[in-house]
Amino acid sequence: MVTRRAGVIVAALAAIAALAYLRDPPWLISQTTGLHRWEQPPGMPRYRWSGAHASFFVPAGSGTFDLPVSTTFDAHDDKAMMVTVSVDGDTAARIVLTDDGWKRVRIALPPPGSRRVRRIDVRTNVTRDGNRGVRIGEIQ
Amino acid sequence: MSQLRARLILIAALACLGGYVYAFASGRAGRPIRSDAFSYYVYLPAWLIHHDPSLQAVADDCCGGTFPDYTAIVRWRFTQRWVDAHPIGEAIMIAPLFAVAHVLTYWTNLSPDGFTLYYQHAAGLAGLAYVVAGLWFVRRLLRRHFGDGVSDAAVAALLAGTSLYHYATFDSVWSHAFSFALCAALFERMDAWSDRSTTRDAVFLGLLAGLMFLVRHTNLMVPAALGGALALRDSSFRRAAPVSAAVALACALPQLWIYKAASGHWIVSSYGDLGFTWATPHIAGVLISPRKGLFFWAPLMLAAMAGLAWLPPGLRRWRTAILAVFALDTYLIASWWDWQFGGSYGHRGFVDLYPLFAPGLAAAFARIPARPSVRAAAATAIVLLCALSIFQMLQYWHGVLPMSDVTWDQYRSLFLKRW
Repeated sequence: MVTRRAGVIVAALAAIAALAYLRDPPWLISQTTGLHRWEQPPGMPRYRWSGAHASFFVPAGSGTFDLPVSTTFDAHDDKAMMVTVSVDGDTAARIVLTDDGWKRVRIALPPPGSRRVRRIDVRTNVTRDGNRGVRIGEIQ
Repeated sequence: MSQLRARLILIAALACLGGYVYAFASGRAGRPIRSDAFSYYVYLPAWLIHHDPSLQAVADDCCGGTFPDYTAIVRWRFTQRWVDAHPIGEAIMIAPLFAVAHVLTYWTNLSPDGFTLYYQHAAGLAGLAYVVAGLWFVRRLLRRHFGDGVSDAAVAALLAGTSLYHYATFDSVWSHAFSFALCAALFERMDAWSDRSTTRDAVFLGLLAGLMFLVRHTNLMVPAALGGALALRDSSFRRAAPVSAAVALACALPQLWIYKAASGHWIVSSYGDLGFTWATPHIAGVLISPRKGLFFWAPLMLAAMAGLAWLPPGLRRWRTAILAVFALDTYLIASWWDWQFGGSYGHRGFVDLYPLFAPGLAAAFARIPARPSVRAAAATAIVLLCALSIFQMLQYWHGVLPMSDVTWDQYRSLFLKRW
């Protein structure tokens, strides 16, 4: 009985420790979803294609930064594309792409809170062939 | 040794967990929710995150409004609504772990879209857990009729000597892990049926049968055959069977409603023109060919088939049902337009039925003569076959073995080749 109770206490403490760790784990900054590999064709800035929804993390103390985005427009598919960027789930900026030039989306992060990173979600209302949303360049 | 055997299921779980961690930490397997697994799983984010049974909200969020071709989710021509070729049962079985993943996702501040890290591994580990649960039921069934040593050897061989280990780890979100568990539980519970069984037992059997239909519609042949065999011999089950059937039907109704809402029909196939080639089944292909032959890639299953002739008296009542299910499923699989079932290690179509093969495997093991030299030789052969299966599975994981269309010449040139 005592052994069983000790086991329950150890399990509960392990669960609490795991939860505390998972609140703000150090590996979160490198987590991404919906992003392809980095590419850099000649004459272009380095970028990654997103799907219709991509997410990544930035340091919470980044303040204000620019997110370069662009997409393709060709005879086969020239629909305007609305790009919505949110910070920790709250919409922070929205832009409509109507040509294939690079646009900068300015994101102002809220003051740092209890976490080391903030989550950035990028959503597009349409995608190009192969579920490609926007090219996302390096944060500036 | 006996202490190790007492913890067989725990050891099997740890072995599966080790393989799972290796497959995903090494990057060999990509993400757990991929290819077919996506369409089995997609109901959970649709229902529980987007509150949209039509699946459109998930299509918008993940893919710009249209599901990719690999998902087997098509827009129904006449209604313009999404019809998913894969049914809802697996999603229902993953739901408890999905709920945990959803809470943890908010806790860590990952994107709560149903496809980020915790959701992926909740689904992946659910498949693993169900295989382990299936092994627990298989072991319980076997121990009722065989000695502990034979039962444990059969359970271990079933995991290591077939593609089951692969479907508990690398491809654990495919439906086979879930069907395996349900088939094992149904078989064990039916085998345990007696005059003392209650309405609750009948309800449980109905739930298992209903879930089997919801995971993969063709699974229905298993409860039908086993239930028929039991009803023929047991009057108490004949009285209880309508309860089981009613519960199973009630379980199936949500799926039928989904089909009706999406397509206007109660039963549909979203595979379009792709279907069965009934007149030209690839029987040899699915049983013995290097491409995907069941017995080629899991030769221990030959022993399991032979063992059906030597079943102990308490298990003989299942023989006809097992053979009927095997024959019918073989014909169905062999008649499918893609009889290889795409990329897979071994023939994945048969994984769902492995619990039905377990008694034959145990009977074959029990038949091995007691002479120490013969036993040692047999044990060595079984261990070598398991080792070969695991090695070839690792070849598949590392891309040495192709995902499909393996020829005999290719197999020979790749035999025991390291990665």
